[in-house]
Formats: sequence, C-alpha cells, structure tokens
Amino acid sequence: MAQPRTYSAKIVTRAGELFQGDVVSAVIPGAEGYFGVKAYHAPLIAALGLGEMVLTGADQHKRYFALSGGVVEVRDNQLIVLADIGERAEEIDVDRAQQAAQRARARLKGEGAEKRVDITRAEIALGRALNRLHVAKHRR
Amino acid sequence: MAANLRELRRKVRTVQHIRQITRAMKMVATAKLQRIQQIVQNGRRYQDELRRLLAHVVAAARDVDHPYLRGREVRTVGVMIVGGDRGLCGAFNRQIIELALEFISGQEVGVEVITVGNRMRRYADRSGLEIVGSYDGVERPDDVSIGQIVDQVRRWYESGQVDLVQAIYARFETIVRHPAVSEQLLPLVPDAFGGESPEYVEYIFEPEAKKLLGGLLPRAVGVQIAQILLGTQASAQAARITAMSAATDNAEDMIVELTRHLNRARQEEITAELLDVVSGARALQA
Repeated sequence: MAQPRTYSAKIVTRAGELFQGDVVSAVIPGAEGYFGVKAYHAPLIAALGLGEMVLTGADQHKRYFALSGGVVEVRDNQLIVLADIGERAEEIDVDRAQQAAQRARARLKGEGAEKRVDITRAEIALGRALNRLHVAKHRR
Repeated sequence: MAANLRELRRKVRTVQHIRQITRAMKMVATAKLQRIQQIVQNGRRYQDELRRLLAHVVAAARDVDHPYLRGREVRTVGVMIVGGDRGLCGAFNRQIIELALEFISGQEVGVEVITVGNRMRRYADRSGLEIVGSYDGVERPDDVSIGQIVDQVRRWYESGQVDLVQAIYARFETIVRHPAVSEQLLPLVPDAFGGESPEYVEYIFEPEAKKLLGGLLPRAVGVQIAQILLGTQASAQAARITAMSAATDNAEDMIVELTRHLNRARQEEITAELLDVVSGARALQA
C-alpha cells in the first residue's frame, strides 16, 4: 500500500505551541460543524468552535486536543490552528474540569443566576468543562 | 572624635542595608521578568500567526468593509498610556509619560486618555488630561483587567467616542532595550498585518468572509492590547533590574569609601589616645 500523503500541521495558542509536525488527516471543530482536512485540501479559512480536534499521523497514531474558539487556515498543504484556548488531552486536569462543570451547573440552577449574562457565561463554562472531560478520555 | 566614629559606623551599616534591599529587589525583578518574558514570547508567536492570517483574509476579501479597517474623520483622539505601577525603575515611567505628553501636545483635536499603571494615572492627573478610564498594571495574561481594558478600548472606538486610538507603552525587545513607543491601535494600519501584501488566493471562508472578519478583527485587537500590556510589564521589570543593579554597585562603592574614612578616623583616634598616654607618662617622669 502506498504511504498516505502527509501535510504539516501546527496548533498555536497564546500560551504556546501545542503541536507541530506532519499528519495524514485532521478532524477540526469548526464553528459551523466538524470538518476533516487531508493533504492537498483547498485553501480555507474557518472559525473554530468548541470541541475536540484529532490529528492522525502517518503511523496511524492519533493525538487529541480540546479547543475552544479561534481560527484555522489551510493553504499550500499547511494547516495552522490558532486557538483561543487549547489543551492536549494528556495535559487536561480532570479534577479541575469536573469542579468547573459542577460550579457551572450550580450557577445555572442557583437563584443568583437571574442575569442573562451570568447564565450565558455559566453555559459557556459548562460547555468548555464538558469538552475537556470528553477529550481527556483519550489520554493514555 | 568618638562621636564621628560612631556616626561613620552607623552610615556604613545603613548603606549595607540599602545594598541588601536593592540586591533583593534586583533578584525579585529578575524572577518576575523570566516568568513574564516567556508569556510575552509565546504571545508574540500567536500574534504573528494571527497577523499573517488576517492579512490573507483582508487580501482575499477586498470588498469587505469593517470599521476597524476604515479610517474616519478624526474629531477626538483616544490615547492609551501604559506604564508601571511602581517606581524604583529609573527613568522608565517618565520616558513613557514624556512620549505621551509629546504626542498629545501635537494633536489639534480633543484628546481622551485611558491609563494603565497607577504611575501613569498620577502623571496624567497632574498634567490635567481627561481620563476616561484607569487600571492598575497587569502581570498575568489571565488577569481579568486585561479583558476589561480590551472591552473599554473597543467600545471607545466602536461607539464613536474617539475616532482613533493611539497606544503609548514600552515595547519589550531585550533586557537592555525596551524603548517607549507610540503606535496606532485603531483603525488598524497595514502594519498590523505584518506589512506584507500577500498574493491573492481563492479561499473557502467559513462562515462567509464578512462574518469571519467580524470575529477575527476584534480578536486581533484584543491580542495586540494584551501583548502591549504584558510587554510593558516585562519592560518595567527589565528597567528595575538595571536600576537596582546600578544602585547595588553604587552602594558597594559607598561602603568602600565610608570604610576607608572609618579606618582613618579610628586610627587617628588611637594615635590621639596613645599621644595622651605617652605625654601623660612623660609628664609623670619629669
């Protein structure tokens, strides 16, 4: 079987680089739904949503990342992901994510959450926490 | 004579204490700089990538209009002055405020000011500037005040209260180079996209270019402001390292000098006492 064609991928956040290397395919949480990128993808610029990103290397090894917000560009066989918030699956602090989820749930149920802003914030926080917990399941 | 000796001893001790303090402050500033320098460098990589990407979007979607990209008639200028919270960092804060005052005095229209760092607030107050917002300096990228500052600056411009936003701050280049600089924040100048004009590429935009830019441009401005705030903090620590290093050296020189005086005074006193004893003995013998 022919070697699968690879392209270079990079994930950068404000806190640093999460990944740089060659991959065969990527599954990306776009703002308007998940999409896949393989080698020689057409030039694309897309907004990132909240979700899990999966990179597959030439050896079929998969890497998982929890991302939230940002933008992604595909061009000249290069993928660049600029995430507002991003973490590698193996670096997610599950206890902290669980606590964050609990806090957010409590705020959603609580009497104090009358203001719409607070509710939106709590919902976002809950979404992020659940996403991190989901991605953390893939840790080795 | 004895009083002079005591005085000198006290002076030496005082200067030794000062040296201890300046040395400690230098070490604290060094540790803080190391931490914040890393943050600034990581942020700069992200900022560079975002600028490049933004240049691509703007080049590919020429027909898209956005208030951040298009200048308008300037009736009021907003100036964001970013400096330190504390002193003991040499001329650092003064250089920033001097550049700010120079920029403001060159304006022919109304000026409003947002200050970051309480030294800046004090200077701006004293200079009688119209301050519409002031914040204490920030030291961490997750600091809530960064978000508040970004929000206020964006509202400032978006609401039409000001038609241009200028940032005056200390750009962190190296430990010994952190000049006070003045640069336009809004509307975005081509420089904000890295200066290059990329070749035209037919992109697929998701969502459509206008919506995408609507999300990207505020993000780019937010990152730029955050980098300005954090970079200035790094510069403040670097300036403090230099200032405290010089102060420690000066204290050392003074200790050497004072000790020399002290030794001479002590010897003179001993000589005088000896003279007393010897001449007293002579008088008895006579």
